[in-house]
Amino acid sequence: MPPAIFIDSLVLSSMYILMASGLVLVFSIMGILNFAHGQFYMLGAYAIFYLFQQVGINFFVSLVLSAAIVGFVGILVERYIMRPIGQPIQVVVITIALISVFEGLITLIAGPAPRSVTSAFPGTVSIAGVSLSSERLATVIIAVLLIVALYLFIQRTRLGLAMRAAAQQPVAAGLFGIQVARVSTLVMGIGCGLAALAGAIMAPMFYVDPWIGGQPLVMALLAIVIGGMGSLGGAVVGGIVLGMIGSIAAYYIGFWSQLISFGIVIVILLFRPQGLFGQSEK
Amino acid sequence: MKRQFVYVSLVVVLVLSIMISCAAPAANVPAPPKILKIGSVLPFSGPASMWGESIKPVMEIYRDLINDDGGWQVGDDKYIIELYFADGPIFSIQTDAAAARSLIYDKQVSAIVSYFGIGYSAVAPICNAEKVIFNTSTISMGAYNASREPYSIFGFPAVEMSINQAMAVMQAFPQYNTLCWTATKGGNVDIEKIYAPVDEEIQKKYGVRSIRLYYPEGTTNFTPYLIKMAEMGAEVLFSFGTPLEIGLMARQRYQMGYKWPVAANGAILDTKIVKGLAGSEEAMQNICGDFCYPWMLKKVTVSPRYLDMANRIREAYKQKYEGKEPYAGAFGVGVTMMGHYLEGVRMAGSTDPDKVMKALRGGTVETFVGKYTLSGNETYGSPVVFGFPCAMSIIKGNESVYLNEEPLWDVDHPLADVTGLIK
Repeated sequence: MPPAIFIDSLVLSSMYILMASGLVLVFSIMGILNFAHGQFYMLGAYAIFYLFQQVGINFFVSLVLSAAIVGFVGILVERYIMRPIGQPIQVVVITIALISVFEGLITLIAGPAPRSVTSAFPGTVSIAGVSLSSERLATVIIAVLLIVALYLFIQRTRLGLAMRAAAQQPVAAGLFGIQVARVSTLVMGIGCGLAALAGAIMAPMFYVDPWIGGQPLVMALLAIVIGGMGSLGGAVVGGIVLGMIGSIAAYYIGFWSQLISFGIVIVILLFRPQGLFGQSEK
Repeated sequence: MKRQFVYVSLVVVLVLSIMISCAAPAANVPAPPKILKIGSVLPFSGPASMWGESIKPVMEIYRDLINDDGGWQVGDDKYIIELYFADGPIFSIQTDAAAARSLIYDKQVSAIVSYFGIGYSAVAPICNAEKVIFNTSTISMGAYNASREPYSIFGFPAVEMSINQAMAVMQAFPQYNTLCWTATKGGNVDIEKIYAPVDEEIQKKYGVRSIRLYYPEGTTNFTPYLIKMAEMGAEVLFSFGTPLEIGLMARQRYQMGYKWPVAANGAILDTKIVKGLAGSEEAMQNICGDFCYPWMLKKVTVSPRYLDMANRIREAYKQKYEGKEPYAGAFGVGVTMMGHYLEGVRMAGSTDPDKVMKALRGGTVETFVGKYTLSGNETYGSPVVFGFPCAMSIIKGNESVYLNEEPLWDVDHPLADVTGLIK
């Protein structure tokens, strides 16, 4: 397998992991599948477009700002739309409605035409005689750092501990003084921020338009189904599996590669309905 | 009494003169202008919307210039052109059919021109049932039924044209020998097998080796495909993709360090848009595309009448759109296909669809891109054009400049038989 394919599969994996992690966090703590998660990816891509491309702010600063801005939008959505509605089914329906709301708003503000973000890491680098895209290498490195940071945050901080407690036993966590509602708000912000980071780091490789959120959402859903609903580790493994399949299968079998991803999900669910790392309800 | 008689006489004269003036023959009153309604189904939404948005204003300017000249001469009458557009997003057959219905039943158009989507099988029956002349591309003409669809014209030879466009590019880069054809593939179609005789003929005639690699619809990550193409020895890419696909392909090939020319059968959009899609000025270098500007053609002669009109369109466009050049593709598809119908009407001296089709079949018409010979009943059963210029441009710096031209073969060309598309 050519090294460039390996790097490409890691790029795709990074996108899916970041997306799936945000989706899993929100699902595990709030019990809600946020169907507008792809639109937060799209907002992140637009944020980097305006901050880095238009205003000229440093790429890394733009990344942080993109995550913060979109995360804040997520917090507003949780605080003023999701929480007042309360019922999970209705909230899920609302997230579906939010897809059109965000796409419509962005179309009004930015127009329907595709935009592009200039590469922050142009050119190629040669590693052991193999020429690789600097952009892709940088994307993989940034994504790995982000995933490690997320892992450390959840495992090593008090806030992370509170999140894990709220995810596993929300009532017990409340009895121990954890404000589950606040944790939910924070998790929504982090989840949306992760989606925004995925959109922001992918934008220079692809393009930006109001409808780019659909495919990443589908792939994130597949990743968390493969890994197991509610499992962050599962989301990482699911993202890696899908990224590898997406790139390697496209290289080897081309046209039929998309079928493989969906086929694998079906096979996994047939033999392990709870996903690779999910807990069986039995 | 005498005074009363004078007053009565004056009133009578006044009334009579008013009556006479009202009843006078209409010789001095201009007759209401006759109207010729033309419809066009173009993509205004979806991934190909940039094509529709770029073609439409050029067609509108052509309409305005004809009308400013007093209308289109048909027999002894002048017809004012009314032009109506409807959205057909190219890959959505049902939407394209709905667009055609709205033009025919709501706007009462007598022709639908400049359609280049894949919905021939859905749109043609609607047009033919109402005797509305349908000028479309050969891209989906596999569904054509000669006996049931006598009002179809294949005025845009998209499939045949692509081969010659690709050869124009290959001739401009004699150092390259291997051409990779790439596009979205729909369904389990063995394109390699279908086109094997074409590829063989191309090898014989032009000395160009063809390889083919296709990707699923909706692909945005072309990296695995580009790596595969590189391994297969690709030196030039020719894509049937949308502007977005071309831009992404050019961008990702640049990010990977490949410098292949990326050619497309569509015309290059405004280079600012292309730069946006490709991501940078460096990445958009060597993108090639259709370049049917009548004033730029070198191997195809355009009649002075059409050259003059093309220059007027160009000037009017530049005046209206802040000095921008009109979209080259509008001359390949938009105004040229509109022109086929208008020439047919002029030659027939009538707007009657049967007379127009009779005039067009086997006839030769002048167009914005040279002289077209239209086939007769032996070819498709309805007219298809020969003579398309297949001119290509290339992006150098920030401009799209003339590259080369390989005019479309006529019906006797050896490749015409091999493709199975011409005959």
